[in-house]
This record gives sequence, structure tokens and C-alpha cells, in this order.
Amino acid sequence: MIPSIYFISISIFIFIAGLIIFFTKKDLIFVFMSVEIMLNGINLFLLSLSPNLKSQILIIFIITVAAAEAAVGLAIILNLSRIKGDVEVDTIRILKG
Amino acid sequence: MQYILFIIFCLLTILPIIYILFSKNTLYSAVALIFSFSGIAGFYALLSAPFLSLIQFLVYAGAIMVLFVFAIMLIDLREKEKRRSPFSSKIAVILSFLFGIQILLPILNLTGFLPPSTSPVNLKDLGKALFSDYLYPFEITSLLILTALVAGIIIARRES
Amino acid sequence: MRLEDLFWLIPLFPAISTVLIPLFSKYLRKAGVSLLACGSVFLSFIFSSISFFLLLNQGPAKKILYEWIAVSNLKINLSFQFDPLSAVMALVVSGVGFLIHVYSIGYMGKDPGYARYFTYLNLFTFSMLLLVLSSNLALMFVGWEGVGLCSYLLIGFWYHKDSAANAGKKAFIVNRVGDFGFLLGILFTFFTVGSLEFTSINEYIKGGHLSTSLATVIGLLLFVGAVGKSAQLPLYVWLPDAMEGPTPVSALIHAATMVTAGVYMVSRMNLLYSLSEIASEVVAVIGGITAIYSASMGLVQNDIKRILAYSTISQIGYMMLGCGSGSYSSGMFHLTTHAFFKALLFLSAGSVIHALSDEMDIRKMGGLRKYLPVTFPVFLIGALAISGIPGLSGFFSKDEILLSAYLSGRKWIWIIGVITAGMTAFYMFRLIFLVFYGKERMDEEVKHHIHESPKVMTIPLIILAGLSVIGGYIGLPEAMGGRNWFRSFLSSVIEEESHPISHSTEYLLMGISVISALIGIYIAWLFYIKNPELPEKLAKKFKALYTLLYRKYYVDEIYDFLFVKPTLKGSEGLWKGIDLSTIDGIAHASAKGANAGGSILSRIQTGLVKDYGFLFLLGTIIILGYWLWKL
Repeated sequence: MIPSIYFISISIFIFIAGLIIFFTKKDLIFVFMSVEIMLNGINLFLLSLSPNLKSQILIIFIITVAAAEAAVGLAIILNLSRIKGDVEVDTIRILKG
Repeated sequence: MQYILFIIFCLLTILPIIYILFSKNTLYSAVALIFSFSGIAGFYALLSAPFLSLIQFLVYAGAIMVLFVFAIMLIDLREKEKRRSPFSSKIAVILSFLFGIQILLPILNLTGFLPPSTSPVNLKDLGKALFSDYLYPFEITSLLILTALVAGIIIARRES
Repeated sequence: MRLEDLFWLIPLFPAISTVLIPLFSKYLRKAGVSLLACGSVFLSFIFSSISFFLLLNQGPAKKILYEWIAVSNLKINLSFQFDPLSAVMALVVSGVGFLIHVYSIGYMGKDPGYARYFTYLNLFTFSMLLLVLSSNLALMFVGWEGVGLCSYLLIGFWYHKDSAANAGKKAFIVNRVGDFGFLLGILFTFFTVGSLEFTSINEYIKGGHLSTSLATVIGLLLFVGAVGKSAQLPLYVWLPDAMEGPTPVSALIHAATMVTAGVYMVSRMNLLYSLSEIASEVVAVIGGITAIYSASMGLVQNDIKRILAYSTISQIGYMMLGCGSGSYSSGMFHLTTHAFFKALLFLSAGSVIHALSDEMDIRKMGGLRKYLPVTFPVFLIGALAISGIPGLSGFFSKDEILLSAYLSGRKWIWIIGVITAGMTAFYMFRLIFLVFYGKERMDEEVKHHIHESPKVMTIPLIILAGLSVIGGYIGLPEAMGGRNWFRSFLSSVIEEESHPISHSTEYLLMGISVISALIGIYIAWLFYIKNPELPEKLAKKFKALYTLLYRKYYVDEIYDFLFVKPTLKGSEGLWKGIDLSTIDGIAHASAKGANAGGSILSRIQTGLVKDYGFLFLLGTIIILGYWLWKL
């Protein structure tokens, strides 16, 4: 059997990697991908800490919601790219105030 | 045997992510992510959650990333604006590492080398639970998906 | 029926109507307002009369309505007292007040502010009754301020006229100066006696606890207030300007009642003033000098109301002279008779003004004798009364005063009083001759509309004329066969020394003052009937003196230079220096500071999701670290 600590450290690695991608990339699509990466990291983290029924069901729901969110988010990015012309993260300052 | 699988899945998961870290090409990164999610599906299998791993493979790797690829192909790239960003990303990276260590350290001491716990979950039990104890979330999630579907179509519609 | 159950209602009626008239002015027509206003004062008069008779049978009474202030040793109550002194004042205020209210129905009939006028008039009556019926200095001061306020409101009744508004302000401000002294006097009284009730103060004095020096200080301070309120030297300047108000107002407030409040106050505190030689002397001297000073200005004025105003100042000087000479009853006596004939004179003047379509310059009148068959005789009666012609009320009261002045030992003041009597007769008959006799100098347009006043105005005049004739007999001196009932009535409240004097000396003194009056009348006849060019020739010959008198000794200009302009300049400086720069500056600075701080802080809101995520991460690390630390 593989000790859980391995799974746990991998999941944390995945999460941190996603976080880093979030902060360092210029393109908005990368930011979106980083969100999915982080979500996966969290799922693994959850399952490795307590591999029972409840966590599996929770993970199923997380995946489902992530799918829905990805769909809507990508639609928004599509719209934004049509209006603005590019999807550079640093140029999207609509929330500025 | 399991260790070998574990290492394979590690590489499958981590290498694409590292590639994404350094890549500037969104399309290639999206494809790499497909591999990465497949690796995670393998992890789920190692953790005695076969149904979950299949779901992960089908939904994440199969649907969501394909959606990503489609979206990337549809994005219209025109001229780029000038950018100014007052926040340097280096601090953020350091902080992220810090965060990771902050989470790992206590768990390191706590769990040690515990093996993952015992009874593998039956698909039958999973199905039963999903439709009895977790019926509400189940139905509401289906509504959610419907909403996301409609929303996605409306937002991404071309103004004609 | 007991006195104490009844008399405290006297001020209540005008108070109620003051509130009712403005509340219901929409529903009450003019008739309703008139009925309410005059009716309430009439009720006060009825109750005053009933209380007077009860007083004769049952003796004085006191009634505490409400414990107003009770803070450690300071106890001020809403309490009234009814004794001979307050009885006299209550009867005069409500009686003459009622007649003037009725007169106002005719005089102010066409004025758009009719309801407002009667509201103020009733408020005034209430305040005045409060003043005279209160049993302590504090409540009296409330009434004192109240009448001052109503004076301001009524002088400036036609507020769209700048001159009226300014006159109202002047009256209130000059009064304030006096009130400052009055308040200091009240404070001193409280700190020495411990109570402000008149009965307590009198007991304190009778018990010998009050030192002469303290009595002097208090007496002088209170008198400052009286100087302001009763328009004596040097705080008289507001009264001539107060003629901007409607004529009935001038009659009620500035002749019969408010300006006499100072005399009432001195009489009320008679034990105090008798104790202090110096205070009494000051009262008498200021009274006497004011009398002759003001009469001198009245000699040359051309506005019919202003002549009467200076006359009022002069007559109040007489009253103060009487009080200061130790004979407070003579001062009160003259107050009463003066109320009758001065109100009569003012109201008849109002009748003349009304008849001549608001003309007030006597140079534009003349020969009105035949046009005003009621106004002329009553005016003449008033003039005779004020000049001190024997048989009429003014003679008896003025005589008492001159007698007490003579007996007080200050012969020079007595001489001043006699001369002033002559001047009084002169300027009154100058007025009569110029207005009712001689050539008719009115404009044609005005002459066309001359009419005698309606009955609602003439009947009060006739009543007042009657009072001016018979009113003096209540104080008929022993020398002429009476028993001076007035003085003995007041003796329970006013303690005076009686100086025995032989009847022959009294007759001599009376004769001298009558002769002085007759000389005055003769000179007036000479100037304005026999040789009408004489006054102009004299004026040209003594141009400087004439100008000095005509310009009222330039006192208004002097005050303006000494007090008004520095105050205005000072406040302007304060306004610019402190209010604008400092306080507004602080407000602006704090606004700018908030703005600056805000703009600095708003830089966090970059609009980049990356930055928000960063802050998120930061926060999470901190919180997580804290929790893990705790573990």
C-alpha cells in the first residue's frame, strides 16, 4: 500500500503549481486552466485524506460544478475576446475602482 | 507493482503541469492538461475509487478539456494593448510556496505513514447513497448544469 | 370666593387667546379675532376688578402654580401675588389695555396683518400681567423679557419697511443692555438674600441683614434695567424710533404700560431703595435730568408722535424723580394718571393721523378743530391734564411728585421739575395750536378725505378723557380736603416717611407749578397764534441751539460712532478671521484629507483579478498561520 503522505504531497504540489500558474501567466486562458488544476489538486487532497463514501460523492459534485463553471467561464472569455480583441490579464481592468 | 503505477501516474500528472508553467502556447497547454487529468484519474483508481476515476477521465479529461480546446480555437486574437502591472509576480510565487509548506508541515507530522483506509467503496453503495441521502444535491446539480448550458449559449452568442 | 383661587387667572385669558388666534385665524374672520382678543383682555379686567374688591376685604394673597426650578438652594416657582401694588398695575394694564384693543379694531381694520397684530398685542398683555403679578424677581424677569420681545415684534410690525425693522432691532438691543444690569442685580440678590421672592427679600431687609453698600449695588444694577426698559438717560434712544409701530402700540406699550415697568420695579423694591441713599439719589437725579432733557428735545420736533414720545420719556423721568425722592406712591400715582392721559393723547393723535390719511408732520396740519368734533375736545383734555392744570388728574399726581422732590432736600431738582412742567405745557399746546388752530396747511388731496373716526375709536377716547379728569381724585391730598386714599391704599406695601408740611407751603408749591404751566401755555399761544413768524425768527437767530435740539443733541450719531460701528466692525473681523478661515478651514481640510486618504487607498483596487487573488492568498496564509499556531 502506498502511504497517504505521498498522495497528500502530490496533491499539494498540484495545487501550488496551479497557484503559481495563476500569478505568473499573461493569457486569460492560462488563468482559467490554473483554476481547474487547483480544483483537481483539492479533489485529490480530499480523497487522500479520507477515502470514504462521503468524499467520493463530494468529489463527484465538485467535478460536476467545475464543468458547469468551465462552460460559462469560457463563454465569457469568448465574448470578452470578441469585444476587446485580446485576453491579456493585465489589460482587463473593468473592476478598477 | 502499485509503486510503479504510482510513479507513472505522478509523471503523467506533473510533467504536463511543468510544461504549462513554461509554455506560452495555450493550445498545447490545454492538450497537456488532458494528460495531466488522466494521471489524476489514475490516482483515484489507486485510492480504490474506480467509479470516481472513470468519472474524472470522462468528464474532466474528456469533456472539459475538449471544451477548452474548442474555446481556444474560437478566440479571436487581434492587436494587443500595452500593459502595466504594478504587482510583481515574484512575491506571489514565494508566497505560494509558503502556503504549500504551511499546509504540508502539520500534516507531515500528523499522518506519518498511515495507509489509506480499508474497505473499498461499492458502486452499488455509491449509487444508493447518491439517490437517497444526497438526492437534493443531485437534483439541484442537474438544474445547475441546465442553467450553465443556457448561460453559456446566451453569453457566447454572436450578435446578429 | 377666595382671592387666591381667582386672581391667578388674570394673565391666563390673554395667554389662551394668544395661542388660539394664530391657530384658528383661518376660520375666525376679523370679527372673531376682534372678539377673542378684546374679550380676553376684558375678562382680565373683570377679574382684576373682582380681585381688587376681594383684596379690600380679605387682604393680599399668593399662589404657587408650579415648582419650576429647584436646584440645591435655587428655588424659583411660577408663583403670583396680589397685593395693592400689583392690583393697581393689573387694573391699569387690563383696563387701559382693553380700551386700546377696542380702538385697534378701528385703527387696524384695513391692515392685512390684523390677526398677527392682535396675537402680538395679546401676547404683550399676557407678559405684562405676568410681570406685575409675579411674586419673585425671576418670573418678573420672564415677563420683562416677554414685553421686550413684543415691543420688538410690534414696533417692526410693518416689517417690510426698513425704518420699522431697524427701529425694532434698536429697541430690543438697547433694552438688552439694560437687561444685562438687571440680571446682574438678580444674581446679587440671590447670592445675598438666598431667595428671589419679594416677601423673602423684604423680610431680609426688615431684619436688618442687608448692608447699605450691597443695597446700593443691587439697587443700581436693577435700575440699569429700569433705565433701559423705561427709556431714561442714557438708554432712551429707542423710544422715539419706536414710533414706527402702529399708533395703538405706541399708546399701549410705549406710554401706558411697558415703559412704566421700570417704575413698578423700583416701587416693588422700595425697601431696598429706601435703604440706600445713593441708589435713591441716582434714581431721582436721572429721573429729573431725563425729564428736562427730553422735554427740551420735544420743543422743536415736527412729527406728532415723536413729540408725544419725548413727552413720555420726560413724564417717566417725573415718576422716577418721585420714587427716588422717597415717595414711591407719588411715582405710582403719576404712572396711573399718565397711563390715562398719555394713552388718550396717543390714541387721539392716531385719530388725527387716520383722518389725514397717515400724515404725521404737524407742519402739514392746521385748523382741524372744525373737522374733528370729537377728537379735538378729548385731545385738549389730555393736553390740559399733562400740563398739570388744576382739576384734572395730572395736576394732582405731578404735584405729589414735585412736593416730594422739594421735601427730599434736593431743591435744585425741584426747580428742574418746575421748569420742565412749563416746557411740557409749552410743547403740548404748541402741538394743539399747530394741529387744531390756524391756517389749514394740508395737501388738497388729504383735505378731501378728512373724516372723524368711527365710534369704535372715539368711544375709548371719551372714556379715557373721563378718566383723565376724575382719575386724580383718588389721590386728593389733605391740603385740598381729601385723604390721599391712593397713598394709604398702597401703604401696606410701600413704606414711606411722611413729612409733615404746612398747608400753606403746599399751596405755594402748587401755585408755582401751575404758574409755570400757564406761562408755558401763554408762550405757546404767543408763538403760534399771535405771532406765527416769531418761532422762525427765533430759530434763525439761535440757529446753533435750535439745530442742537432738533438733531436731538446728536446722541444717535454719538452712539453710532462709539458703540454700533465698533461692534459691527469687530464682528465682521471675527467672522472673517475665525468663522471663515478657522472653522470653515477645518471643515474643508478634513474633507480634503478624507479625499486624499481615499484616493491613496483606492489604489488597491487595481481591477486585476491577479492582484485580488494575491490579497486572498495573503489573507489565507495569515489566518491559517494563526490557527495552526494556536494548535
